[in-house]
Amino acid sequence: MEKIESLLLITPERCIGCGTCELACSIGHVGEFKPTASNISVLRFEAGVNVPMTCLQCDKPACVAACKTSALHKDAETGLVGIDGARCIGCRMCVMACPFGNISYNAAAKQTMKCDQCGGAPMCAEFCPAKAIEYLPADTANVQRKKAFAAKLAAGLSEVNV
Amino acid sequence: MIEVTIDGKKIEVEKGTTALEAAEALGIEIPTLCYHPGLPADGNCRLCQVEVIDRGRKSLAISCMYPIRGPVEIFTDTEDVRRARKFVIQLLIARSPQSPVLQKLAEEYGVDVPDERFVQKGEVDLCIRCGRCVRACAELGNECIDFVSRGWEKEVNTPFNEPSKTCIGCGSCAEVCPTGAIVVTEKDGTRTIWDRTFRLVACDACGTPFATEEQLEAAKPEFEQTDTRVLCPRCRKIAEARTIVLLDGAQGGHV
Repeated sequence: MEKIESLLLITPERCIGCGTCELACSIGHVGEFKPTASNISVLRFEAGVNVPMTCLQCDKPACVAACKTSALHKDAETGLVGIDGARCIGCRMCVMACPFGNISYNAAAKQTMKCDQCGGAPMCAEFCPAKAIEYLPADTANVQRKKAFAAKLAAGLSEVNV
Repeated sequence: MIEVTIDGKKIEVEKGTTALEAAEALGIEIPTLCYHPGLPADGNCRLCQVEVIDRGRKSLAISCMYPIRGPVEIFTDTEDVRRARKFVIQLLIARSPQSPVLQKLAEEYGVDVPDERFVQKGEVDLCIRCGRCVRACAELGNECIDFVSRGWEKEVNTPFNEPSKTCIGCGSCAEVCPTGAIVVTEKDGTRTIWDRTFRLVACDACGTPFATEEQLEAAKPEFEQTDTRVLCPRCRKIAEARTIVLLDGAQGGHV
């Protein structure tokens, strides 16, 4: 098991759909307010139902398995799935492979884009006004919450029919 | 570990580290065209030449292919180095005078516009035969393109200049091309590359064509279909988010 000191926790019930996380993410990564270039996106359903989605830093990442040049790797220390942009050859296999659609390819910049948790200080969590996105110490309670969220996604993968 | 000196700066590197990697680690920039960190080095463009002094002997070496085996001294910007690079650029730009990448290098190294007698006539040829595309395709296990012919006739192409049967239309070759010589066009739900036209698979939810059938096939077993539908990345995200909402029994029921 990897050592994770802090967790990025998402609580969709709290999300007010303001999209601040998308703006914070894009200004942090590409230097402009551009939700389409953000590594987190808020999916808005009917009134009051919003879900922020970003990379889940999977234990067995499909994107890493699909990457032939080791541009993507699972960091044993932090538990994050990291990118070495210089090694990317733009084949987009990771984009095909991710079951959650949480990795994308920026054709203009010739770079794969995914959440890197801003190297330990995620901007989305910092700016979220509703505490729907939090960056909290990996203590037991928070790990439990994270697991509950993951369980929902796992259930979704096997039985979703909408 | 071996201690080497590059442009007067010292660094300890593992045996076998290339001169280029060591220089990069020191933040020293060496111009490259065919080198790609994600691909095996091939030493084709000859632009990354540096001067190596090994036990008192001075020689020019291709830094991307030069493994450090002893405590050598390396210089990346001497007069000899600049002259060697200048010559390489001169040859490259004679073939592809229209290439913006080469024009920029020519300006930087003070290479004059080549005498028109020596400039390639006819069709614009941006390919510098660096083989990045060939290596990228091989790395992906497809091996659809390679160098064909020799000498002046040498070029990158598919076998027998026919549309490749093994190509998956991923476009990696075009992505890694340093001069933009490989063209991928997308039009009316199709993608054309290397004279082969692929039909793009449309997302079952939003209808946007997003990938070739061959690409999705190649991404197996990593690629999973979401409830037997083929979804584009964006719709996969929506499907997942929707599941969470449904399992939460969110207000309003069905979304």
